[in-house]
Amino acid sequence: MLNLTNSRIESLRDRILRAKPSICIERAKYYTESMKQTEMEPMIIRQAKALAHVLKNIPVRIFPEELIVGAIVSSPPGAIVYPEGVGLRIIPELEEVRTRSVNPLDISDEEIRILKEEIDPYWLSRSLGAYTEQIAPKKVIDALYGAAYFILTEIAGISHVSINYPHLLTLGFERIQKMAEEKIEEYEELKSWEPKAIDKTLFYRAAKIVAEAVINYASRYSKKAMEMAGEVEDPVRKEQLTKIAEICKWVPAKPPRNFREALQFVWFTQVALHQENYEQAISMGRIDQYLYPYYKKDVEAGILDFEKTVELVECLWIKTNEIVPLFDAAVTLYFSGLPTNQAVTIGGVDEEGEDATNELTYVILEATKRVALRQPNVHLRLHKKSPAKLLKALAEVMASGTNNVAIFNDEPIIKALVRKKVPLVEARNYSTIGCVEFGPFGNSFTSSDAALFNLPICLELALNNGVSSVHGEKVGLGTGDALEFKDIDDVIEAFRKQVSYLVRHMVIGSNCIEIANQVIKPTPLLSLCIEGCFEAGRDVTTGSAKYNFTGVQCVGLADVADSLAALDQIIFKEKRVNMKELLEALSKNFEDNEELRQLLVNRIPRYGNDDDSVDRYAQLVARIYSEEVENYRNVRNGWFIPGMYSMTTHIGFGFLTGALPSGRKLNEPLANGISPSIGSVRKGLTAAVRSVTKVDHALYPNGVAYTVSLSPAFFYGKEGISKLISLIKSYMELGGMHIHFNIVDVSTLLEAQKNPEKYRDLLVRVAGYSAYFVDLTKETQDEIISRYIKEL
Amino acid sequence: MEKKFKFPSEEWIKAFKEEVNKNKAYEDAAKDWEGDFLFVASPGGKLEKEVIYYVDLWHGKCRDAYSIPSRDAKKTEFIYEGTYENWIKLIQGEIGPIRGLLTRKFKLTGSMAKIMRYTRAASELVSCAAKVPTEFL
Repeated sequence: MLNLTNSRIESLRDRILRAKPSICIERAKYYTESMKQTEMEPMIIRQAKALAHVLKNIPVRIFPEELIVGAIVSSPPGAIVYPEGVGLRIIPELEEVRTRSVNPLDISDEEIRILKEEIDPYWLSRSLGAYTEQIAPKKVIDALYGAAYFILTEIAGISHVSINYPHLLTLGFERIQKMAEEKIEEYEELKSWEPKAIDKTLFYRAAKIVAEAVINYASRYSKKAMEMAGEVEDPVRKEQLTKIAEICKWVPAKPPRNFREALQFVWFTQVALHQENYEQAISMGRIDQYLYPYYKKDVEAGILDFEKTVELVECLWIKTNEIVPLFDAAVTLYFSGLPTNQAVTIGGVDEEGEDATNELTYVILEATKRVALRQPNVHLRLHKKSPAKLLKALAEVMASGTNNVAIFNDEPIIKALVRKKVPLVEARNYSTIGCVEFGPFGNSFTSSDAALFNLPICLELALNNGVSSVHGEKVGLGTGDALEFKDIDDVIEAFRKQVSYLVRHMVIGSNCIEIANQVIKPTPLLSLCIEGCFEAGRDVTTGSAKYNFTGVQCVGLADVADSLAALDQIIFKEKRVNMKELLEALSKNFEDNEELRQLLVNRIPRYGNDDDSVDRYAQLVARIYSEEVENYRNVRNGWFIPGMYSMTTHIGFGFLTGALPSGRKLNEPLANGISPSIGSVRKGLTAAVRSVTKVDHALYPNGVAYTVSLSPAFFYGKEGISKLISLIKSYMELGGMHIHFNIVDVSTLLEAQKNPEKYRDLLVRVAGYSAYFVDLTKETQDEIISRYIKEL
Repeated sequence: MEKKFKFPSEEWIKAFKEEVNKNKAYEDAAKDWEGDFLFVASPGGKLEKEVIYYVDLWHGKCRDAYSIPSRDAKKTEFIYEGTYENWIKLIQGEIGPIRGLLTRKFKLTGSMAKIMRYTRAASELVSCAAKVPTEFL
């Protein structure tokens, strides 16, 4: 699988892959230190000073053979603690975190003491969660901590954004600092009478502080590289370090002069953004587009060729793997596999609708295949005019089994964005964010992973008059006794009411958390990275980006579709079973009625087999959720938008969702994204694709995840590559928005379960992202194994 | 007047065991559960010294429950631990057992996934605790 041709890359890759991850407390320590010192100052200034303090003090480390520098944690790979978000949830588990069975992390006794005694007490009443609990209605908080209905991820912070690198690269941070100074002068002198002048002055003061802090951070690397160059004896490394010193002196202060400087600029900015914002989905946008001019110039000048460029891209890719998230045991159940989801977008159409593929697109695909790591999340945009050569290159990467590239289909995505009033030109210039989300590139803050919503539990509540069978509490709406339902329309009506009721709770909760972010966690650096914020003189959390969405995803579409089909057929049409008998079986998790369960599982049409009698319910359920979500506005003067993906919440929610009429039992995983339920695909992949694309993907402007798991045997040789290309093309022609593949043998996965140490770098696609199979919880591993489709 | 059991006390944990063993809903929800616990109330508020209960739960019944002098006295599959104030809130139904974990009011040592599979059983255990006539410190 692995095709490393370069010893530098092999060595860097090996270091990041083999080292045991650790918890890095440096950021938490300096951030807290600064926040304690600035208690009475305006919050945006406090945040700016805290970031500056962090960047001034975190260790500066250049590792052997590195060409791109900037250590995101003190000892990579590692997890940053974000105490203002949910980072301190780990506190009760610190004693066991070094030896826990899934994702162990190193930490010293002294570091544990510092976290417990110096950092945790300060944040207990000052975190985003603590603030949210004060302002959110009790019902919403109760539903949130029920962990069964919806998850509100913004309680950890915001992130989930695509950075406007074209803009930053053009200006450089020195120019931004100067622009901030000019604005301060403007608002302190000429416009001081304006009502918003004070707020704007504060914003620009914060902007100046963080711009300067980023420049100074890079300067520390320049000095460090120069020092190391003076000490090292190897003349080759000495020259490399001298070069690094020169580059770090230039960028990101000034606009880069060449491709390598541009990469270094991007990485320093990523490091700084990760010190300000928690480690989820700080995405790099259309990287093959904005880096292409640098690449072209260097190639023309004879500085770069294909191989040298691949190596530099691989160096950047490896750096993105330096950070892992810090998840406690509960969060790991919902977000397994240590995802950080730094997305990069390549390919696609340009603003005129013409193909934008360039040589760098191929360089990036090649680097992604060779380095075969979990990060970044590489997303290839395809469209009707994508070159055949690109499809072939993509299919070869996929067939190689690296499982680290996903496909995005321009047509339905652009359609979905236009439907949300994004002008066509900007919709065409979308970039991907995180797992499967997208937004207008560089000028949008879509908070794309604000929440995840459990659809099947709404059906459970509908059948139990609002009572959760697991919690035993009335969390939903009273929608009447299911025994009184006369036909499937009554069930659907009750289901819709439950969805409506809980979506409203989710929206209220999300808006409360967004207010918490505005009040206690403004993000001055991130605000320099999204068009509209600097111009408006307001932080991005207040709604100063040009486009402001809040993305909330549903989970378990297939479970509801299969269940509605089952209810319709056996209760109302055929009357083979009455509602009382079914409800009793559900309440007992089918323990006394396996016969009924077998009937439901084997005799009722299932979504995923191109059968309209059940696919129409998938279409209906998708429409219901989309319509409910799109009723609401967020506190940034934008709209809530629906997505359909799960991370691994389909497993977490599965623990808390009772048995369903589909025959799914309590504790079993729900369906992942838009995929059919496990074991439901009986007529092969072609039929499954037809079912999946009957759902209107354009109803989901925050993205849809479709994961297909197949044996590599389908894709051997030239014929196999052709088959894969045809499959991708068919999916696109049918209107599928996103697809990614797990191409690995089940036997390999089973072997990896038995001997994890031999499969440290075995990558799999989980639900919109890649993870090392051995990093996943046992529940997630089992679920991935059970996904496999046996025929095309 | 109904007799009240002091929490914590040996009498209280015995009364709790009795409540568990007559609770049909718990028996159903935990009928294939196998695993023992230490329930630990850490000092704070009116509780001066750590209190540790050993509770052996097996196939829907409580096989044994008693206090032990130190954590080392019994090695169990799970430890569920919180401050005395949070135990009061749990017993009085102000916070659920899973919510207690999610909000950092309680700490779990042992498999979170296994506990999540038995959320209903955990809720029923709390109901049993609530049924014990309790007098707090």
